[in-house]
Amino acid sequence: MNGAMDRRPKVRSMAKPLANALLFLGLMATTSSADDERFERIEVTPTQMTLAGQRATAQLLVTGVASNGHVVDLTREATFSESDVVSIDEGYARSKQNGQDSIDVRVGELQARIKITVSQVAEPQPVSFRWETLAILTKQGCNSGSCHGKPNGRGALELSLNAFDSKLDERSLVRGSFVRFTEPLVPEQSLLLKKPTLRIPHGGGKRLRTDDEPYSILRQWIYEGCKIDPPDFPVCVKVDLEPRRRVIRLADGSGQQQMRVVAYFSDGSTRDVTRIATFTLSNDAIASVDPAGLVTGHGRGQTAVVVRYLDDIASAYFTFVQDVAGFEWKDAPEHNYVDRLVNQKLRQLQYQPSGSCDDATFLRRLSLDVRGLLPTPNEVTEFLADDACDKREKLIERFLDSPEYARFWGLKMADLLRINQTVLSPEQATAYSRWVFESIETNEPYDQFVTKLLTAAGDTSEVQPANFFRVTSDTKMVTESVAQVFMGSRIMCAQCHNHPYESWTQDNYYQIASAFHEIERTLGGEKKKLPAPGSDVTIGLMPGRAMSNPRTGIEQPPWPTNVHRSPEEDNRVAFVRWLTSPDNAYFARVAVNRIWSHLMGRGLVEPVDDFRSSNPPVNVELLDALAQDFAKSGFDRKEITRTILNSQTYQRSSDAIKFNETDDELFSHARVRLLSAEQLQDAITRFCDGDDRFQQLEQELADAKIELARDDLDAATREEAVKGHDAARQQLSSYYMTQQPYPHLTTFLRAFGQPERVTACVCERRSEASLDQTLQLMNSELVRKLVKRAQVRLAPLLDEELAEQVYLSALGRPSREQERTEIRKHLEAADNRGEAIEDLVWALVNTNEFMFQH
Amino acid sequence: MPDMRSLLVITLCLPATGFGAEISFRRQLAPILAQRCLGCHDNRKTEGRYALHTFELFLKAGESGEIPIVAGNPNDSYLFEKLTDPDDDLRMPQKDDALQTEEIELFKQWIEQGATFDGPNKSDRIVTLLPPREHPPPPEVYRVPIPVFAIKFSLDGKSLFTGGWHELLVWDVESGKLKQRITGLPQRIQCIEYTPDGRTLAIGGGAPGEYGEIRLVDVDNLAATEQPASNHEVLAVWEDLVLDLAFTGDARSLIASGADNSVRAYDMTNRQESWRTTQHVNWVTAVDVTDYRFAEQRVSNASAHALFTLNEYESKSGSHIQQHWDFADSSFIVREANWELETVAVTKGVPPIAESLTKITITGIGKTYKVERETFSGDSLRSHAEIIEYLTNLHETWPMELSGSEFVVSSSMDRTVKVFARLDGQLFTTYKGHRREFGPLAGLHRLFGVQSEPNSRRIWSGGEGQHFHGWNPVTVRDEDGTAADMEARFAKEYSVDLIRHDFPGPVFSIHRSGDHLLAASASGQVKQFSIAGPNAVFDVDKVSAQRTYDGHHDHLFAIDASNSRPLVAASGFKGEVVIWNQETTEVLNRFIAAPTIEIE
Repeated sequence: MNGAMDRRPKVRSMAKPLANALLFLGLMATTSSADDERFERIEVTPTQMTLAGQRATAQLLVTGVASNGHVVDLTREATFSESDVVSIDEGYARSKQNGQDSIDVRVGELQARIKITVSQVAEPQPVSFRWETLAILTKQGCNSGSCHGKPNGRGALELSLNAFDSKLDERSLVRGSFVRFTEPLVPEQSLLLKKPTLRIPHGGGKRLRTDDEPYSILRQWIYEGCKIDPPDFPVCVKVDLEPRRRVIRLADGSGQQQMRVVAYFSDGSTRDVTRIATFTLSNDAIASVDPAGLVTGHGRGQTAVVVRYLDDIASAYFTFVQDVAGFEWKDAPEHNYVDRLVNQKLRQLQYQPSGSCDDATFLRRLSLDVRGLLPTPNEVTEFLADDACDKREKLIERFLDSPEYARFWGLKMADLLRINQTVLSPEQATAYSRWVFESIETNEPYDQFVTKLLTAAGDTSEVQPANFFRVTSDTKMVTESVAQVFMGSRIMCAQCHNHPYESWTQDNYYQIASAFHEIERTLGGEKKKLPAPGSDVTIGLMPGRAMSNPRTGIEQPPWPTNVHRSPEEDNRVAFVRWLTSPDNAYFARVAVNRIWSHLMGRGLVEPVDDFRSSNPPVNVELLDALAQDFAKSGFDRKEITRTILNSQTYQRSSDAIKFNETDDELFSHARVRLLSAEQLQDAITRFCDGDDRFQQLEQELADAKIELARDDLDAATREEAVKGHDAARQQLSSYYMTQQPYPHLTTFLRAFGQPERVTACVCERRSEASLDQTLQLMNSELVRKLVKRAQVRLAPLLDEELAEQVYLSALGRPSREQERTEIRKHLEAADNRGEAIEDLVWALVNTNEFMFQH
Repeated sequence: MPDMRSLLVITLCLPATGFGAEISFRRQLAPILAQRCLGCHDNRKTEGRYALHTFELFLKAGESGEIPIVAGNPNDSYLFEKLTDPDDDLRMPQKDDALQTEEIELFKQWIEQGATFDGPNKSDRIVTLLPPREHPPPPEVYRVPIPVFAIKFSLDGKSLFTGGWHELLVWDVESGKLKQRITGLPQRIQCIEYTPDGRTLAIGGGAPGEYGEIRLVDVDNLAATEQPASNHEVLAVWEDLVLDLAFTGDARSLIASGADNSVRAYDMTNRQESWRTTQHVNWVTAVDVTDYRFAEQRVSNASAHALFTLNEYESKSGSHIQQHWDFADSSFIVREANWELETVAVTKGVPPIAESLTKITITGIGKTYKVERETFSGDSLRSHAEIIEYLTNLHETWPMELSGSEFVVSSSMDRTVKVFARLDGQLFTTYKGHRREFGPLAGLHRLFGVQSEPNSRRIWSGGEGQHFHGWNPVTVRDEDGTAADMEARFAKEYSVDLIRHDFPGPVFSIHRSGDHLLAASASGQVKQFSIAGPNAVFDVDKVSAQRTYDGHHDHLFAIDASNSRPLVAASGFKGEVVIWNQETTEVLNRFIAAPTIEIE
């Protein structure tokens, strides 16, 4: 996925004769989308520019603006007037001689004018090692991770990954392997030129042609003696892309857009680097990009155009729209801004949303998503009978207020915080989980929760959030967990080199690490790395301790580096302040995206902990709106959850219709999802046991609470009451797996993807189907045990009632006439009624309608 | 029989080849295949399961099952079909420019003519069929200096040869002026070696990544004319650079090593390749040959003399070894079981006399394995007259057919030095002491130099790291035990002599001069170390340079000392040569080793 020469030669060679033909005939290209537009005017960027130096170049962009507001790239259709100072080909300007000129740009009848100044053409302009040579080697893919950029390189040439280490590159290229790669005396004989042009066999294939601009720049660098940039050479501080966002209509063929990339340097100079930047796409199924930065769409959809210029990565976002035959938008209900923004995107890409799901489906879906549990038969009948027009809203409210919600969503947070039994004892895990639970139950603002968590210190038996640093037992783990959980960034790649897909540098990694490196974990006064579960660990601070980048040996200041901290101040405080600030680019977006993903089955950014500019959200506007709402509400988790649940998008049917069956990521219909491990076990439990046992345990806890609240107890009885209360709570909370403080790792749960909480990665919870799952449902100890209990519960019921009950409790809906008939027949025909009931229960557990959310 | 009209047509269709000319696979097609096709279709990369690195395989169908060459019928030949495929993506060479029309025409005609093979052997690699390159003339002046990888003093020490661009340059040591330019040589010259009789210069070099060559330059011829001939005899053609050369003392073999990881031996009497080995897994940066021949045999314990004490291994196995080192000056070392006699040559024609007798006691096994040596010399030899006589006799009666072979030693970037028998290229042992996990020598060090020591069993090796290692191949072989006790064994210093050099960068060139090692490093430093005599200091912790030669500041690749005058020279990346007085370390001369550079 690099912009290497051999990727799409057809496109490149097609554009040139086409442009020539246009110049000749003065007509618009038949394959462009310009045909149907009536353009009002054309705009050219930049309107004026200075090309300084013999190698100075600039990519011009010519944009046609139609009367209806559409903008279309006309760069390849435009003609440019002749000039002495500059030569322009396909909108790409090269300096010819010093002077000033204004250039007429024409497309058909429309015209615009730009001013160009060229200077310093006669002065020597040595090729920059870093900003030209290394940029070219990056663009050609030479230093990628599969070739010379891997450890020890290939074929005696070792380069740093994406040129992040110029010193290593200098050592390798200039003197490496006995000066193997360059011949300044006769540059064409250099291996660095002969290999990529395939004049000598090259494992990496043909990467350059001798008439390419990059070839001539490399050759010049060698000719000039393979010089390195002097220490005070200006460095690139920023890279700008144009256009940053665009909607492109594909009309009879492919729609194209030329990119323009400009680098800004520390001495104030700018340089057009379009032809030496590296272009990749996040979605190359629907579009392609050529080495000159021309993006061509092939189908409808969205993609990020990721541009790398050495250490800088920037992304542009393109949406390709195409008319679908027979599509006519029908307005769908909009309950709130979520629907508005979802539907906006659907309409743009021509997908028609499905209608709303029925009440039974809604109840079951809501109960599983919010509480983790199936609705009880009573809840089903009540809800279906209710005819209030706001019953769904009220139900949402009720469920959000339930302790089950706090426990189930506490479990999700506990997954990320890695609360498990290998590091903590069961009591400690329970206490830590309880702290999380209470935070959700009281709807504590999320920023406060995170602040308490990340700045915790003290005895882990007293300060529950301090357990976070006990569980993540070293600074690097803390860095990676914090980045992954709260910033949505898989920053671990940057531990050894600059991040290959994002702008994180290796220094950044160690700067975040430095923010957490003062933490000291002690046990009984001594430092302890891996204390035994159950032991009492204290989280303290060693003020002033910071981490160094191991490659450079330079100590890194804590992140954020532009904030002044006093020496006694805990370095974490400023970090957390930065993280939870309302305009932090990550915090709110990552949080709402996770909530969205839990409810909708897929994040707006997927995977939810892999935010990067090269992995754009499927609906940027929606993600931004949710994030802003979240921040404005004071990071109220319940509020966002409520908003999403109340949207029609959430309440859509999972039935796809003709105009949305190919949509997999824009939420035009609900997604069918396998119940999670815990949900599935609890569903079987609740179906088989009914609600009685649970209600009994709830009652016991309520009684114990009352007992404890009495103020007329003596010490001994009080102690008893406390024990009784804790036991009751333990019993209740260990009944349902979705309500657990820490995972019970059974084979059943493991088969269905329960995470062990070894890492904070969302990928630990697996959702792929496996043979093990089928076998578990068919024949596990758990299922057999519960099926027997179900039989006991259901045996006293009459056949009609039994049929209705099993459907209500298993599938959350009334049974149908045909289903009742079948069951009756089955029970009547049975020799052993008990076994027949068991078979019935077992059969229902093994149906798709039971196992999946739909 | 072709008629007039078709004769005419044929004439018109044959461009440069001439009327009815037979196409030579070897001369005309092999070069095209080597340059345009081998990259994807050789033994390393076999796209489409089709390889053409030998003629045999060239004819065999690949994955497609289609026959590449059907003699007489280009249209049925899949190769021709692929060369002319109208679809850019399917045409060969894939993802590259098509062959030129004339080149495709050559293939077509060759197939029509019967697709015959005119090389010596159909299973030879086709690159070996290619003729040696005709080297272009160098530019009259060099626009920029080029790195100098090889230098050599002339026998009389008055001239210095340096490697140039497709030429050998001859400089006057005194004045630093260019005296002669010997052209017709490869692009890069990596090594220059005299034959023992001083009448020929062997030049090794090539073009990085694509070509290697050994040429023999007639020294007598040089002196005779001002413009020496440029058609120097080609000894061998390689597929990558030849990095080092070494002659055996008797001048009968030339050993070469290179960037294709191979070590090869050439019989100089008939210019044939004697053997080739690719035991190394990375570039073989230097080679040398010992001035002794080594042989050993196992004999039954029944014939052991009462003087010998057999150790546990020997007793259990029922046999013990006899070993024999035969030096060029006719001195020898002979060992049987636990006694080893070392002799020294005094006068030519007179048999060598006993110098020392060592009693070797081996005890234990595995971790408890221990070797103790007790050496007797001078007067104390008298009390061991019997064993000395026995061993001397053993040397005299040593069978001719077991006269053994010199060792070829090769240093490599794979961090080992390998020892081969000069006779047949068999691997004798590998010295792995430059790769250590623990201790003061910890590190994985790539090696760039190896030198044998005359009149000694010791080999010196070095490269990256802080030390030169001096070791005995036979001892190394014996100690090359299991991984578990390797570290323990190598911790014993008796088996490796260490000279700490403390160069801040890798040493790229080592040269033995008399009792000294001269070394030049990446940091621009040149130093001389004693390896024998009273000044030799073998201490893992103490730096022991005897002399330092200042003047260079960048990577140095080559160093040489004159055999007739006290001169040392070094050159490297910057293309500059510095010549010092070897004794006083005074700089005698310095110049850029390039024909007058145009200053741009």
